[in-house]
Amino acid sequence: MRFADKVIYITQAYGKVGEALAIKFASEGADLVLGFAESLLIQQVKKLGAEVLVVTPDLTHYDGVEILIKEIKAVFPRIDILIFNNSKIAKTSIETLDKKSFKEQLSYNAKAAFIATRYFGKDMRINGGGSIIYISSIHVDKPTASTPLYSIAQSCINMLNKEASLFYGKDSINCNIIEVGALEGDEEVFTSNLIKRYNDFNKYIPRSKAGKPEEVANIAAFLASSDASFINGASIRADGGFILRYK
Amino acid sequence: MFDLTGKVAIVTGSGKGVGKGIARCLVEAGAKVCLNYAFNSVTAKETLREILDFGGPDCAILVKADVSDLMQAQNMVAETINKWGKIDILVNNAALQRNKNFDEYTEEEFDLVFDVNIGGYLNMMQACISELKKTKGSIILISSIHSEYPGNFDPVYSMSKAGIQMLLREATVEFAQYGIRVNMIQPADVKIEFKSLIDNMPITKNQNNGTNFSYFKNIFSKKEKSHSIYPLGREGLPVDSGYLCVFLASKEAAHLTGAVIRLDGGITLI
Repeated sequence: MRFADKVIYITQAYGKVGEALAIKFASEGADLVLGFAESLLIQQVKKLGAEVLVVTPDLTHYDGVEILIKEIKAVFPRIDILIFNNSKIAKTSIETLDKKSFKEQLSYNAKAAFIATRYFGKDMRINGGGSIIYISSIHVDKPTASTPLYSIAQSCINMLNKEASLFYGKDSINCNIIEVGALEGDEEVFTSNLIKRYNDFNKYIPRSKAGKPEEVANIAAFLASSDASFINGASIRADGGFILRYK
Repeated sequence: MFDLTGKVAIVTGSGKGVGKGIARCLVEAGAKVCLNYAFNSVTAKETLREILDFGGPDCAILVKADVSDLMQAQNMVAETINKWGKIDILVNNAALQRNKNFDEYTEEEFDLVFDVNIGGYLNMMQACISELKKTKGSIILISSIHSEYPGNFDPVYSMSKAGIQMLLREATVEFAQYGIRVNMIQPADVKIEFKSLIDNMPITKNQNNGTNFSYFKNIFSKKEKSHSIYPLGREGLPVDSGYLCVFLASKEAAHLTGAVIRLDGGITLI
């Protein structure tokens, strides 16, 4: 039980990865603050013994997070581990995207990461340490050719991770990033007219099989554990080697 | 020197600093340049005068536009088309930073930095794209070493510059079908606080057979050079970015797209 007495906040506790994260940490003894979790997941993690608080904050504004922290503090003494898992994807192109989608995508995917880091980092500093993990994607590096605002946001998080690891590292707060590749069921999002390999991604993963959300959750659990205490500002790519193929 | 005779360029944020150096080098290579500023008209008008003195009476125009506003970006493009009838080169350079760390950053400052540094680059791409398709033009994004190396002085600036790195890659793939190339420069610290860029570069097009780099002696004092932490003994100059832009925009760089070029005197390797 690596996370007994630890409180973990998962910003987006729905979707494949969000749910796998919640179940993984609950199964290792953690209590959970879950963003936008559905009732089935809540039942599952409670069954595993976790104390759970479900929250629905607006992370894209400072005051939204200020309210959230008060809400959390009424139930738990602190947050030990922040897992930023926001991910909003909308198909567009550089030529046609509009101001509204620019604001929405970058706010939800990147600005929220900054704000969450800023507030929870401050709180962890007061509490003597913690861990921040950003669930990002291989699109910190590889273009999507279908969702440019998403990949721009991912690369923003990539630098946020590096800056945060310097700024908060002195306070025993480790910041790291997981760059997730294609997972089972990603056929819908992993498409592009310009980068054809995305349409047939299994073929380009050396093991010929997309990832499972549990494989991502396992890495997050390792990074959040004391075993990873010397890992700070790192990026771990979890894509089965997909990105290394270029033709 | 690579030849840009007959080419038309827009350089955003060229009222001073790096943008001014880029404009100056493009003009030296024969291009016409639309200079741009958002706020400081006194400095920008002085820059226009210097560039015109340097490159001749028809080599540049000056347009006030805040690139974070798409309408103003479009207006600048219209003025450039009105003057020269086409656009071959877009240099996205206008950016700002707040030099505050996590605890001091306000939400308004975050939004401003993202709206200008990322939104402004996007707006200019959108405003120019139909013209660049006609000319199979070149887009150059001025980023910073802080798109990869944390500076620990302005996390939001670094985030925005990293965002530009993926904008580069997305734009490279999206625009390649039109023959448009997109490349990025990552300068480190750039010395911009000397009196006049042109005064320190007395070479004119008529005189030169290649650029005379001895002028660097006048810009950096002996003490500065001996104390420099840069492997090459000095920090960057606006013209360092400028000459790289000339190459990136030239026909000799025809196969170069999606590239990130670190222009830092070696500082990030030590």
